[in-house]
Amino acid sequence: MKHFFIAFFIFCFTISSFSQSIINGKLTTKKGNPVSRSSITITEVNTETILSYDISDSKGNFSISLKSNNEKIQLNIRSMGFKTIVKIIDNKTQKLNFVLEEEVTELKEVVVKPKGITQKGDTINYSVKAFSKQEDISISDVLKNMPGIEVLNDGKILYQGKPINKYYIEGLDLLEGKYNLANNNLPHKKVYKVQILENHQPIKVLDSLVYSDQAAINIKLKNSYTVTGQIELGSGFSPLLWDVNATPMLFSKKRQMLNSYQANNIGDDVASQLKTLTIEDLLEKFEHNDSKQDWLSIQQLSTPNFSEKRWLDNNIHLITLNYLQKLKNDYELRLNVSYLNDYQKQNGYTNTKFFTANETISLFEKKYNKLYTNTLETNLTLQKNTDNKYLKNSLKFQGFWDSEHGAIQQNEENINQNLSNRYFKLNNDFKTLFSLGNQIATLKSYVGLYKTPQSLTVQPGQFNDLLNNGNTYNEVIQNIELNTFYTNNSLGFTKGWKAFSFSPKVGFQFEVQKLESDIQTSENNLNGEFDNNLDWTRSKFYVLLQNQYKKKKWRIELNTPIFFHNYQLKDKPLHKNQDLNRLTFEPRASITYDLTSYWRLSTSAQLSNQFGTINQVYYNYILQNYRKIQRIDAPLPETQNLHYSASINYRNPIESLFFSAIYSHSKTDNNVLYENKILENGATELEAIQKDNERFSHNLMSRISKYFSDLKSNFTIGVNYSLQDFQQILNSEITDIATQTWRLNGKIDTDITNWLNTEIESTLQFSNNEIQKQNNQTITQQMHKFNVNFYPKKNQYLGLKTEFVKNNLFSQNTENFFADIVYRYTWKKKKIDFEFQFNNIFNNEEYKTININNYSYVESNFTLRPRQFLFKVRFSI
Amino acid sequence: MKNYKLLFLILVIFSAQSIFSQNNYRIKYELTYQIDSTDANNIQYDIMYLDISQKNESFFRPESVFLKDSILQSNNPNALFSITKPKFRYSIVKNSDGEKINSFYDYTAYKFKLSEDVNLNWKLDNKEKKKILGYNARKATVSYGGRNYIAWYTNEISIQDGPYKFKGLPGLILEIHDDQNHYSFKAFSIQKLADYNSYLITSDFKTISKEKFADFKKKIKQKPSLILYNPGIRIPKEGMDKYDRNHRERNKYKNNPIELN
Repeated sequence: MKHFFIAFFIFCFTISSFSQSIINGKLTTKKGNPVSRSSITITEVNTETILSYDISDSKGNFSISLKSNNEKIQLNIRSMGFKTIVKIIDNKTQKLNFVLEEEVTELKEVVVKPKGITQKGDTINYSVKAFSKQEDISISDVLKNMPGIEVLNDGKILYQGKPINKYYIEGLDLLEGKYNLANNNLPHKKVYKVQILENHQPIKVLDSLVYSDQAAINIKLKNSYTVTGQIELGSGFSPLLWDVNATPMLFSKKRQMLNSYQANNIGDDVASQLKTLTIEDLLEKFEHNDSKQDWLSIQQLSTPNFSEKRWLDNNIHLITLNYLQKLKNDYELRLNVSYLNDYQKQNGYTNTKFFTANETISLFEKKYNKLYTNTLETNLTLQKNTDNKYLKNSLKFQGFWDSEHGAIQQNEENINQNLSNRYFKLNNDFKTLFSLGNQIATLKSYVGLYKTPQSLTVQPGQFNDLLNNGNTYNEVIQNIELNTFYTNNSLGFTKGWKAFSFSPKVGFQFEVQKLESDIQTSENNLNGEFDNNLDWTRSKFYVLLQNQYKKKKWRIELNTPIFFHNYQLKDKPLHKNQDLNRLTFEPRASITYDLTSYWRLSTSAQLSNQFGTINQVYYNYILQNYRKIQRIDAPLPETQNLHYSASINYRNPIESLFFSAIYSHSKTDNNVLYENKILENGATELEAIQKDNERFSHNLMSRISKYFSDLKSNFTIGVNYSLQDFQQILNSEITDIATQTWRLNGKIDTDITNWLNTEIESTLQFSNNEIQKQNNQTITQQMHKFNVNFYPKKNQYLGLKTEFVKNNLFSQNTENFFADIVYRYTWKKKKIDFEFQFNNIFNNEEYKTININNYSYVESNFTLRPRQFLFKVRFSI
Repeated sequence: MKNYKLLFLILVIFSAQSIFSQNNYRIKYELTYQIDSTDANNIQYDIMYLDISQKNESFFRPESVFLKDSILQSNNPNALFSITKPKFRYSIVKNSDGEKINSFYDYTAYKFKLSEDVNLNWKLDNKEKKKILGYNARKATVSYGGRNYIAWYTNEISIQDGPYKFKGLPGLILEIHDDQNHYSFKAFSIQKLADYNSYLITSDFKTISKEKFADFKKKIKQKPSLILYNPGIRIPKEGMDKYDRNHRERNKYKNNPIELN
């Protein structure tokens, strides 16, 4: 133990004849316990001039050395909780022990307001005029100058180092997460002041219950209304390319609008911009199962597994209108309308090999597909968000007037396919939060109506044996219409107790569907022989309880949902019906344990049940595409899935070594086995029969990475393995099928300097298919990437991307080498971005891949976008 | 643990004649600091808590760290979503481990503990005096971490403690700043603390040496995205690059740590 021994002098005695004395001793309580951390000071008698001092150690010992000529000195002992001792002693080396008397020490409490920081909970106002500089243009530039506010390169706004949770304009939240659009384009001259709302809780009902330490920003405008926007223009060749993006906006205190028109033929699928989904939205979408479903299709060409910008031949126009209006009584009305029109072309061929238990059938198809998209989406939302009420109701309509045309050349024969795959949806989504005792309860209600009128025409007619007594004919038409009513309602809340939290929820789902379909031929020989008239009713009641326990190194979750399912299927003309009642218990448990701060172990187990949907049971044939006709006259599929997983994770940031391995296994019990009958011409007929069967799958993933400080490089190696084992009936024989895939991946990222980095990545994939213990050819795919990124100046970027792809196919190998260059320059003063792209420099025209299905290998050839130049300008209005 | 402490507190309250018949105190300091040594206009503020227990053990940390730690151990799972990064990541614990000062650094995914002996060679100045918050304060000077500090302490509060790693004066430090005024701590509140709670699960923190910690800080300065590496999650290269560039840009003006060596 080190002595806390410090000595000094205040008055500089220059006299050399100092006498040095050492005073030591021990402090104890009456009971003899040592008193540590007391200050023992030696002062001149009756003054406050400290000559020397010490602080008692954990044993209560102190030792003070003193150089002074005073004959008498004063010893002061002060300690919290004890009476102060003051004693005048001789200035000589001595040992003094003290017994301290206990005493309650009360400090006088004081609070003053610190100068630099504004009181919490207040709204802070920044005047824009005071903070704007001459070169500033947008409100984003001015925000950067305001103390406490940071604007990152990607436009994210931080207040006191934390991201803001809302960006309001005049108290209205038109853009939600996409505030960049307004922040970068709203000129600061139109803004009167910026308000920071500290500790902002966006849902007001939760305000006093759920603490928020995030802030929101509110922009107050000078004028009653403001118009602004952004424009991006691009052009190139060949053929003539264009890329347009115009985004005008209007903001006022009661009404706000943001519109956008985007169009291009450069392979940029802007339709994906419409999707700004939160995790909650995604989960709901999954539960309602209300996304567009196509029953019929033209023969697809599988798209390459790299960036769509290399192959997507599109012509897209997208218009979105977002409008927000403030109403009386704190209601807000928001209308979002979007219209999408796209025309895509796909060109290529596929070579398919079907494996059956005793033979292999080959099929060669040359394909030219045209896809037309015509979609209108509207969403009308009414929202009230006040201190005692949160209510949100969205009424949505979606209409898809889509169609597809496909031309196939197969053995000198031309096949035409015309598909009208329309889909309409009208739904209402209601959500409210209210108090239930001490808890906040959430009530949700969803009601939807969907309509799927679709038809497929194929010329010449197919499936001659089945549809036309073995004779050839001109045309076959499949019509189908599915009408659905669906509702889902639930009530739930969350309660916390110590380290536990419980979230109970009750609800019910109800679904009524009517499927009508028929097949027509040019010979008019079918009199309703291939009609489906299926009535489907599904109800589900559920009680869920989610329990979570979290303490120290453990996190345990246990979900115990109980479901009651009822299914009623009836096809009156075909005299078919089935009823099913099931009570299921589907528990899930997971455990995570932090072994040390570097190691984490976790494991989970889940039992779940699935029941078939209407497209898994119908009693008469439906022509799904020109060479696939199927009926599923079988009991409703019931599957039970048992899933286990275990993972191990190591993260050591000091050695910068990271490792993980995950293993998962699942076993699925099915009650239905599907029979694929593969005909001589490669056409398939699918039927289902009742037979219990199992499917096993194993997956192993592992990854290791290490950063080397000296090389400024990060190295990563990954290995994935998967194995699937199941049964299928192929041409009347039960066949065991096993597919396995190995994937090896290596990657090196190097930051050569702050303005230059490189990226090298290699991937090897081996896939193999085994049917009845017979091994089929292993497919090898290789992908190697080398990218260089330069940032020569802050406003300039130069990127070189190269990619080498090698696939071995049935008979030959294919190799593709791609290279692209991008250069971007920002003219800071005017805030204009210029971008130059040179894509597919080596002008690769086609790409060949191979896919492995359960019982076939498909080799595809896809026509790529040719070598192209593109120049883009982006600026604000 | 928390219950045990509460029980303990109740016991203490009801046995008035116990040796621990003291109170817990919270001293709040306003920290003003210059984050960029070359830009005297870029001054930032933060509130720091020095919580002192009846046993003289003390916790020093930013208010935001206190809030974060206390929310993390509360029963309100919803509040977890509102937690974000505090500007300083440390909690400094004094007088719980002999004379050692333990600093707990929380990088969310990684938690480190540094245990050091801090020797402060205080020089007392008996001449200069001033009143701070109604207490008589006296001057002392010390050199630490490459900076020369001027401290004001009061022997009217016989707690040998202060902000950051400063301690060992015959009284509580109410103000301390370095001679260039890059870091300045000023007490603005002294209050009793009903429930002294560290909210710190010290077992989560990995003890490392000062050299290893310096090595870690050097690495994340060189490659900030290292902190995001998690073999279970894949973040695209573009995302990592963006993170690196943003943080390097931000680190550029964060060139003035409190300890220069």
